[in-house]
Amino acid sequence: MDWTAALEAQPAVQALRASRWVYPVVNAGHILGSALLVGAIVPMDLRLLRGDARPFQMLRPFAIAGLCLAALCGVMLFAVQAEDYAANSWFRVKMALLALAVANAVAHLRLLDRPAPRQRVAAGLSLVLWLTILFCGRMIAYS
Amino acid sequence: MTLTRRVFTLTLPALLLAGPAVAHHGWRWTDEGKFELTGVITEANLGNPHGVLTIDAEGETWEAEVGQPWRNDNAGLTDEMLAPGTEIKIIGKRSANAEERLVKAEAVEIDGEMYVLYPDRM
Repeated sequence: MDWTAALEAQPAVQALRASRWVYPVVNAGHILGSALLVGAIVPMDLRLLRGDARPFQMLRPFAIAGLCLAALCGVMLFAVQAEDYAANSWFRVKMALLALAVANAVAHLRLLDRPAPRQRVAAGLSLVLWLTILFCGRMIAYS
Repeated sequence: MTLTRRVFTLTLPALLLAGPAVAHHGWRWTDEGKFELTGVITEANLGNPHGVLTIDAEGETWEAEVGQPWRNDNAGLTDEMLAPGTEIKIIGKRSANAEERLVKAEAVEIDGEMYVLYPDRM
C-alpha cells in the first residue's frame, strides 16, 4: 500500500474523517496558526525593508507559535485526504515554498546582526514566500 | 507607508481572484428546478471535508454531493449503504451550469427507502 493510503487508513485518521466537531476545530486551528504566522511576519518584514526592525522583534515568538500550530493542524488535515493532497499541484508547490521559507527564516535567525542590504533581501524573500504559500493553500480547495 | 500600500495593492487582487469552487456551500450555484438522478454508485468519497459520490447513470458519469458525516448520520445513512455498486436515486438540485454533471442531494432513495439530508428543504 502507498504511504498516503496507509496514513488515511489509520484509526485516528478515520475518526477525524468521520468527526462532527474535531475536524472543523482542527480546520479553524490551521487558520488561526496561519493568521498568527502571517500577521506577525508581514509587519516584521515590512519594517525590515524600511529600516530598523528591532522594536518589531517581539513578534517573532508569535510567528513561531503560529507556524507550529498551522503545521500541526495542517498535518491532521492532510492525513484525512492524503492521497488527493499528495497529488495536488497547489499542495506540492505550497510544500516546496514552505521548505524554502523555513530555510530562509532559519538561515537568518540572527538577521539584525547582518548588513542592511542582506536584511532587506531576506525580508523581501520572506514576504513573497509566505504570502504565496497562503495563496497556494487557499487554492488547494479550488482545484 | 507607500511600501505597505504597494504590497497590499499587489497581493489583494491575487487573493480575491480565486477560481471556481469544487465543493459548494449553500444553494445559490444550483438550478432551482427539482432534479432526480438514478444510477449506480461507482466511487464513494465520504467523510470530511466533503462527501461526494460518483454515479453511473445509463453510461453518463455524474458527481453527487451528499452530506458531511453528521448529516448522513442524521438522515440514517451509513458509509456501507453508499458503497460502490449500490443503486441510488438522488433527489436534489443540479448545477445551474448545464455543462456540469453535478447534483447536490437534498435526499436520496435506496431500495425504495427515502433518506432526507435537508429536512427543512423538503
